[in-house]
Amino acid sequence: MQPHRNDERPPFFSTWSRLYAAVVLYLAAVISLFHWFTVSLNQ
Amino acid sequence: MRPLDWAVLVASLLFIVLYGLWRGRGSNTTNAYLLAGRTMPWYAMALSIMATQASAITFISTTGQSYVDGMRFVQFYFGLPLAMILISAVAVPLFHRSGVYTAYEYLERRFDARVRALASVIFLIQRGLAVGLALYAPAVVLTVILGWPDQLTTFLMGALVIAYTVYGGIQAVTWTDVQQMAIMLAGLLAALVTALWLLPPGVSPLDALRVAGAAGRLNPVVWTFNPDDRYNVWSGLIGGMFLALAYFGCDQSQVQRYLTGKSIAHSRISLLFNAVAKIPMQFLILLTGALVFVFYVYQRPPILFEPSDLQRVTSSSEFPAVEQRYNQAFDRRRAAALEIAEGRGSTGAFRAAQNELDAARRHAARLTGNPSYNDTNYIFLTFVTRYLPAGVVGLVLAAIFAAAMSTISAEINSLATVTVIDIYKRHLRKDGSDRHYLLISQLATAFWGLYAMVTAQYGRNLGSLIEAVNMVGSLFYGGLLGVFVLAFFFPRATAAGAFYGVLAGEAAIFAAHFTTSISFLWYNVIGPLVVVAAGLAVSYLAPAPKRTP
Repeated sequence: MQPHRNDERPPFFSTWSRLYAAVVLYLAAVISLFHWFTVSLNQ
Repeated sequence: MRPLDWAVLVASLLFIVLYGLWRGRGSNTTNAYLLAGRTMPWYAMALSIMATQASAITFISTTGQSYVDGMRFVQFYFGLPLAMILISAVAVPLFHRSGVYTAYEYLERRFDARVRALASVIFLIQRGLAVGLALYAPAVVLTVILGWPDQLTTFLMGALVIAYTVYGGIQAVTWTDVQQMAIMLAGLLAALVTALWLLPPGVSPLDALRVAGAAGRLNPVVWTFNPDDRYNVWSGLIGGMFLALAYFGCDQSQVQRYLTGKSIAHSRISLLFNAVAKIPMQFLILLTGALVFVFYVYQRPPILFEPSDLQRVTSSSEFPAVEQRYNQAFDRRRAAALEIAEGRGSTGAFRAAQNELDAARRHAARLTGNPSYNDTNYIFLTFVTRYLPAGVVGLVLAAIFAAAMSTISAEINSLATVTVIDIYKRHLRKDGSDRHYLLISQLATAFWGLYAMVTAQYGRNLGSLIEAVNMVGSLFYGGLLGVFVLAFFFPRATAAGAFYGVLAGEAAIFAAHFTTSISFLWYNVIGPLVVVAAGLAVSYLAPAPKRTP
């Protein structure tokens, strides 16, 4: 079994905290886009 | 099914089985068979996690769900990215560092053997019930297309999956998941493009969206809070997050995917990939269902989509009148849709015709004599087999089979792992050789595959299969999630507190299910809250536990 490297950085956003924040922002953007989709087309 | 469709379908299935057998070679130790020697790269785990969750039910039932209820089901996944972040930050490092084979093994290190056994049994019950449904869904496909009995199709599907899963263990499962995910995406895009291509001349994709919108099918966001309503933003964000936490954080069928990672970072990235990709994928599947609805606005759909039920009700004396009412409503709806597409129609006329059409369909459903009649699972398949061109039908069916096989293989693999590691090795035979446990793991995999074949026979009358699976999961996930919350976040929680907390949580969930109308998504919130509250109360009141060495 290979030893686990706990200190690895993520490939994007330099820290895990920033990467998690980016995912939360992405979720907010997706919900906003879906809201626009609903309001624009579901009439 | 034309020869080209058969060729595509058979070639795809053969490729999956042979590829799985080839990839699974060398799985000759327990660690390699159950955890792939912890060598998996992030992209293989990411696609395996996605493929495991995207079952045949996802294709068959979710598209039908969108057809009858619109796209609001996508909100069910809004909490998933939040759950993935929490699991990446908290659970992944703990599981990796402890070097466990199963999530429940960790519970013994944190609490005691009793808590581990309880969680393992809950998982075996819950996942054991679901695996039969996952196998039943593709049987619906062949029942519609070939008229084969369910029993035969479930046997064939089960045998194919068992072949490579028993032989190759998790390496075969994970790498075939990658191929199966590619086939799924190809099939999904083919169905989506074909649904647009089949629109009548003069009806553009934007017109199609307007028609779907007029019918209330384009509703991916519903802000109104209602605890009895299954799908709105709040139930999706909160209930969906708790369900995803339980599924990806406590369900061995998913935990085992990322326990195979070569590092914590690889496991985290595989989960965060799903956090980003899952919602768009579900959106595309639901959009396909909405476009199938639009297609049937212009092309008369059968009054009932289940062929044998349709044949039966046509002999009823009431049927001619129902059919006439249905046809008239269809003609009015089609005329209203054409006017909307031309920019001069009113949604009121369209919706009135839609309501009349729905009423005629309900009347026809009553003629079947089945008060809980539900043909949601047949809608997409009817569209695929009747209207898609040669080759594309085979590709879409291959995608459905790939989805089924990826889910079933992961589930029987994880059921076998828990059976061997948490039950057999822990309680029945502690001193066996690695070769012995490898053999038992293979036998356990075969057992759970056969078990799935038997329980699949009971899937027929469960209505929308996607809801049935999530409902079954929600009855048990709350207890599992609660005990892991106690383990991760409450250092003073004791083994007795965890054990009785889980029992209290499960009692609360079943009480809510049988005595209230609360949507099942909320069970995933109620359960953990009760487990934590009861667990902490017992921990503070009871004497210090005796830890199992």
